Amino acid sequence: MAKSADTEKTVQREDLLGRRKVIKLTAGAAALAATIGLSARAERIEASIATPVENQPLLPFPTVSTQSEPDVLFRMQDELRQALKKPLEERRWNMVMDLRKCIGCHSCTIACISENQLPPGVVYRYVTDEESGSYPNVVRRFIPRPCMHCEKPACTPVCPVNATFRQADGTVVIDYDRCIGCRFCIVACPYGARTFDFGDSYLSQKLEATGLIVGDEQASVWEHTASYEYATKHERTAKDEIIRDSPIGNARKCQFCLHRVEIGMLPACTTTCIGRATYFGDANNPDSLVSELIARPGTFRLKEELGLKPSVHYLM
Amino acid sequence: MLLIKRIALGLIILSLAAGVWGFFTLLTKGVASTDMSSIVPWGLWMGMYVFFASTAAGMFVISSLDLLFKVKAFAGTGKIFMLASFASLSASLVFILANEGRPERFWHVFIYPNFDSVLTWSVWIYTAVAIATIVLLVVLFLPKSRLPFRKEPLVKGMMILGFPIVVLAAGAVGFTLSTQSSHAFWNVGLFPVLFPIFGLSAGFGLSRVLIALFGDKQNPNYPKLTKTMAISTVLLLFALLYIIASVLVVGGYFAPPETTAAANYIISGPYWYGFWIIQIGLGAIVPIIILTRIIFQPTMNKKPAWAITAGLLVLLGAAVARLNFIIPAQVVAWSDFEATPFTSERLTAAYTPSLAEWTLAIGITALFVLLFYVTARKMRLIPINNKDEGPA
Repeated sequence: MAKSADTEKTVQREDLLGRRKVIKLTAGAAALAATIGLSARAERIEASIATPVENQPLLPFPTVSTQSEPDVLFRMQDELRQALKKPLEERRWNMVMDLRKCIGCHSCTIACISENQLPPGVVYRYVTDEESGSYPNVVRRFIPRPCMHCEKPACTPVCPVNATFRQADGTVVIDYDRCIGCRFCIVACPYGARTFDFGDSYLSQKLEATGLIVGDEQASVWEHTASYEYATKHERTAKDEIIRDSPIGNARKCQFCLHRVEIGMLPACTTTCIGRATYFGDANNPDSLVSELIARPGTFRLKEELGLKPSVHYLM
Repeated sequence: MLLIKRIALGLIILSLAAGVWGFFTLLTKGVASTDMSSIVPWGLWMGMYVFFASTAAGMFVISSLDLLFKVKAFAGTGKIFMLASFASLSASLVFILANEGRPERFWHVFIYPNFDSVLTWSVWIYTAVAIATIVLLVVLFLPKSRLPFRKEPLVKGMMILGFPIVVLAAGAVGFTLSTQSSHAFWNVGLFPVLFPIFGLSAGFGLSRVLIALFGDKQNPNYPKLTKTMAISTVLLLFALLYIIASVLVVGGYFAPPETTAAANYIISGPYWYGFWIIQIGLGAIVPIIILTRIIFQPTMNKKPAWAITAGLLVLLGAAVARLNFIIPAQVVAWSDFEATPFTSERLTAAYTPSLAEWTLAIGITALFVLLFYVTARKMRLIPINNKDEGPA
């Protein structure tokens, strides 16, 4: 501890010396400019004589200092793998979204669509983009909205066939082979987290000149590539076939990428988040990153007044 | 009369043809043939299911006036009303089946039931009603000599058992909606009360049409029957108007924003005419005027067109009312999606039933009207002999 304190002091001293050096040089240049009467160019000269960046001792700056730290993804991944050693019922998957870090890039949405081979109209994780205030005080707020995996979900008791339920690790899942497609769960969810797979195709409304559309063929291949939700292969049936395979005709929703999580990988939205605004982990582990974040005073959950106790938290 | 029959037959054939096209489209394209979305996942077919199911419950109750309560004015109407109840219930079950994303798995409701779900209870109760109605119809239509037991006590016993179940069935859809905290507009205790009244008024509307079309106008019971039916229908329509007004006034005056938005959508949204002109104007005010005139001018009974018009308008109003209560609440509930960049047709609040939805709805309705008519003719229930026949 003492050693690290000393090192810190040395760094600070060096920083201070560096700063003094810059100030001295700057002051000298300004004096020279004033002397020769080129005050109009003083600023430009001041800039030009500044020490080149590579030679300049860097000031401690948050973005620079965090680069030296390991990416939070590594910590989350480690914790995920630790959690997987426990029995299912002892894990409790939670997600935290830091709204101060979310920049509304929608990369999580795209990653989710790609990971789960989502057809048009089916979305597991959308990001709302709200503008508030009036000029010049205008703010945009982005809120990623996956399934909340509520502790007391509104969607599961309404299912007439027990096709959707909360499994032991707290994740709310859907049994595609049992679901009858009544859409009651979609109606019941107050978060709009569920969508229905109508069996639509991205290519169904294509332009007349099929051959001229670049990527048309590839899109078709992608569209009919199987998805592996719930670690089961789901082939996408061609749209004109009378007997369509599930999940066509089923309700669908985010399942925290269980097919990835179960093999030690973080959900696609978490790894893809460029602002590292999405955190995922085991809330039953008090030392996990998500537990740390959930304990912060600025944490809240959406529509908490409904009493559904979502497993998705937001940081303000 | 022959001309009217020909026109009716022509309409039925056209409707059936449209229905065949709708069914074929549903078969080949599945629910993708509908205009429903994840924002409005329950549309026309759900509305029709609710309408026919509660009309069936209403008809069951009205048939009990003869079969159970032995109300003299309704003597001899029990069988045909029970048959109409069964036809209506069958139509509702076809609608709910068409509405499912995986209709071939309907049996899952019976082998994997979740009794926490109001929908499970609805399906089970309606199935129980359907079975009870079939048994009742068999008992009613079999001659006394072929039954190993006395007919009257059995019918009475079944009606006593069936009556509370049917009342529950009529309220079940109301419970389905009102238990959804996700939709503030539905989440009120009035819906389970409102839907049985809708069912009863629609039942009276349908029974009025049947009596006007097939009733024995020379029968001394006829004026009394029509007057009783008219008074009942008018009272029910007033009760409905009062409840609808209370729901919308409370919703529009000061309520959670979503409730207010839904109330405003019904009153002044893009389908305002569906509410003001069809549901309130044609579905309630006009029938009240016609039926009130029938009450005070019994001579109007001689022209069945008045009663048929009033009955059909009550049915139309009841059907549109279901859509008005089911769709707007969904439209306003997912305003969150407006703030997303998605532009998919399945993620929009705009809902207008597709051609496949309309044609299948018309076709199913025509099919069950035809089946009812053919069965009633075969069973010699037409013309309706509304005489007090003594024990059934």
